[in-house]
Amino acid sequence: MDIIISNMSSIPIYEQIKQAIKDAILNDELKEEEMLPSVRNLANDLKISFLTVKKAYDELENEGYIRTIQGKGSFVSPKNIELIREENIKEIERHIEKIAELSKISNISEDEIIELFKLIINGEV
Amino acid sequence: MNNIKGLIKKDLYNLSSYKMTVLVLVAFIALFGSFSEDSIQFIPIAISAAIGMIMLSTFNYDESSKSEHYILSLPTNKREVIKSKYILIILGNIIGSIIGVIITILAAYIVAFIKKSGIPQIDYGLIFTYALGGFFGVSLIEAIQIPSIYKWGAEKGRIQMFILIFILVMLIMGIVYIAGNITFNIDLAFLENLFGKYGVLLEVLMICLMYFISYKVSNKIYKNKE
Amino acid sequence: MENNIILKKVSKEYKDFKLNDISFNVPKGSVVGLIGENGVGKTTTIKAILNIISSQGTIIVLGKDNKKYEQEIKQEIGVVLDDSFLSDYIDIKKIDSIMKDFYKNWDSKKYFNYIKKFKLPKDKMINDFSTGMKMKLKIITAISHNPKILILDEPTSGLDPVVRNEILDIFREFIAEDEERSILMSTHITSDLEHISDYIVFIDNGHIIFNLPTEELLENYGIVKCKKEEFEKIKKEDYIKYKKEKYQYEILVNDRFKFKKIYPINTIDRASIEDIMLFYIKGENK
Repeated sequence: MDIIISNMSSIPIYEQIKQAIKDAILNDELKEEEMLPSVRNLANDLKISFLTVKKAYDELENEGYIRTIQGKGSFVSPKNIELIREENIKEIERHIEKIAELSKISNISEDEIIELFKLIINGEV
Repeated sequence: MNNIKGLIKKDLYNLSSYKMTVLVLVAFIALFGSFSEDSIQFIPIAISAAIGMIMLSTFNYDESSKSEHYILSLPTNKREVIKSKYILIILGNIIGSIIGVIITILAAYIVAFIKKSGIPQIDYGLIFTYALGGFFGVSLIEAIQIPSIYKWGAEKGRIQMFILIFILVMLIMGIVYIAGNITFNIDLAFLENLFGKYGVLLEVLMICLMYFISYKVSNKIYKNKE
Repeated sequence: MENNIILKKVSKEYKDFKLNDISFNVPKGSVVGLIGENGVGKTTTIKAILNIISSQGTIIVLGKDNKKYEQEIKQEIGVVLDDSFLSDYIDIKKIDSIMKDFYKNWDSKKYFNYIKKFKLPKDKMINDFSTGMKMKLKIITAISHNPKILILDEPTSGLDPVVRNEILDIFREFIAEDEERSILMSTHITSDLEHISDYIVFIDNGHIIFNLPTEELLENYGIVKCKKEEFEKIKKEDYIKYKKEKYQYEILVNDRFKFKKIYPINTIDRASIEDIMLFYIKGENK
């Protein structure tokens, strides 16, 4: 598993960790039931605070990607089609936010955007 | 008790970095004192004084290493720190006096050998008296010095010690001078008798008392210092 | 007992300096960094915890009062002080011999293993060590009795980046070995803390300015750069301090995400611990 953190990115570090782990799970780099590094060990290796790693792990658990057993560690949960779908929806949301931002700056109307969207989607098909 | 052992070890290790100097000093005293039969008597006093100064120098090592705060961060306390110093210094003085006696006897034999005057006549009583006297003198100075060092630090203490020795020497010379010029109405025989019988006991008692008072005062000073 | 060290309203008065109502905790499993300019009270706080100086207030270490159970507690603490160590005239073997007498849990094997690992000279006097070697020795001495807590006063000052990194690695290893352990570390090299501390306590002029998770400081705090007109439109509750520079205004905010949503200013950067410290000390109030 690679976890590459950028300090310059405006994405919070715990988010970057979450994303890296999610990617690894979705790519099968991390198998089901495989044990993740302990919070403290991962924090040490990435040279960051354990609270940051803990936040990432906690959210991953809330979102159903991993399971934490007290005293033992954190393990990858069995893959879930629902989860993957949710993940993709979230990424689409992010893209839409960016689109909204750009349209605000250059005064592009909602209709224009929907037009563009239809064109591209239909082009793909 | 292990803590005290550790503290004393620390001081001994500090001193051992100068063991060559100490040996040279002792050899020098032995040599110097061997010049004549009269000067031999002063060897025990000189050695006691030298050992005494060396013992006090452990405070200087501590001060220049700035070890005080670190030592207080170890699982010990101020009382143990002071105790270890007194134990070290008193033991050092005792050993110093014993060495002084041994060297004096050796020196007497060497002088006799050089002068080819046969087996020397050693007044053991006299040597013992001088050794005890040296011990007393050094103990007096140290009993005053140690609390002063706790109060004002080792560097200032050094200057103070020289002033103290100077005053004491002046005092003794003064008393001797006055005593030589005034006739006492006191029964000298009684005094001589008293000193003869109980002199040693008195001296030992006084040494114990001096160290005891000094220890209590040091504790009070150090406890309130920051 | 979740906290290894608890300070409650710790105060100390000197002639020209006062430590005022210092309260913070050092939780188990965490590294707490103590920052502030030189002479503001970091070392005083540490010496108060160790009872090297007297103080008012309450200090609880490992569940016990630090004055009543001083010697017992100190068996479990490893200490590195900035300018004070055992002696200048001893060597590595002698330190081992002395520490055995003080610490019940002194581990000679571990001590010499570390000495070997860091290639420290076994027969030189400490006086002849370089600054980096001396600091490594102090740290090795502090961890070789397997303490529960490390208390460090400026453990990386005066050292080059390579050595500093080696030392931070030693600390990380220390805290990973046992999740009950904590480190309290005072430093003015704030960039070191960014890579190891979990909480940062900022002391200025004898009192605490903030006590926050490192993550929050590095993640949520930000520096906004803008023109005068833009600055004047910003509400006072949305920023902490500001600086009027030659070509711009610089503003410290504690939630850059929220700020970005409210104000149409694009130049918002993350803040480093050093930036934050400088803003608090040199920045202007609202």
